[in-house]
Amino acid sequence: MAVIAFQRLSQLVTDYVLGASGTITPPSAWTMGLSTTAVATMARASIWSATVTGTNINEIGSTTASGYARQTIAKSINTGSIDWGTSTFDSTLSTGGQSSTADQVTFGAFSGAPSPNGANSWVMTDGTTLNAGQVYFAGDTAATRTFANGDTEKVTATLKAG
Amino acid sequence: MPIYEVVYESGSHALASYADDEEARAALTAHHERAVSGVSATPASTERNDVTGVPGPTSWPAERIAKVYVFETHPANYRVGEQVPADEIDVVINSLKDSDGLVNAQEAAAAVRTTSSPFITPENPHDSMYAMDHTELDWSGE
Repeated sequence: MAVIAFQRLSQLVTDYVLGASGTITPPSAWTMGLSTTAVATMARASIWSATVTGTNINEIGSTTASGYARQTIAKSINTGSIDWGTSTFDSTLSTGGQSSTADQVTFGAFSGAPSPNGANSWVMTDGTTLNAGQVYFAGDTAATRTFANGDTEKVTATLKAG
Repeated sequence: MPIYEVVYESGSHALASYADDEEARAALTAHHERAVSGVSATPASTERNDVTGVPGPTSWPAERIAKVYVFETHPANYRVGEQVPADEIDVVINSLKDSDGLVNAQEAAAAVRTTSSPFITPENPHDSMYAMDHTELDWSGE
């Protein structure tokens, strides 16, 4: 399974965590979207776009939602909302780091086929406007998911910072 | 387009964008009936040649729906770009004062930050988890 950390996540570390930037700041809530784009065709500088070309990331449901909306993950740890779990540390030099897993999010139920359809990845992002917002990190879905009336999708995201 | 918070009997919450209540009821009824009948909610899945080693389940059951809340806009937009009376922030800080009128600076900073959070902690598993004003969709598991 391929995963990718985008430029904005690194920039949050360099500018906000290290430098307390007032302009490069984290959002008030994380949102998660589903994309037709596989991680293999993304790049560190990828952006959301309705135009399917190059390394752009294209969101499902941006023409016809059919029940699709971005899901939210709170900026908190182990509260009653959908948020992050207690982080853990892996001391392995080459592959280790601190990791945290968010509560599972559910998309849907879908009311029919969204357009575009066919999710190949999930994307941790911000904002609620489809094909817009900053992108932070992404991972492939287990299979290409093609949605229809009554379907849901489940995603559990983990971030491991090495 | 309104946003619907679907609260499943299991306590999981999802947001969905439907054109209106009619579309919402049709989709949720279809899902709910799958749950009652013990049918999967997994979408059509096409195996990918480029993906291996994905952990976790790749199918899941449909879940009964307990509550549905309706928002005029996405609840994550709560207070985005909005100005609030400064008195409201003062109240938050004042609530942290000890008997000497002092506050822990870090606690105060965290409390102020919380005023822009779109989330609240639900009292019950089937309550909304969002701070934004909302109504409840008449849902009886039709």
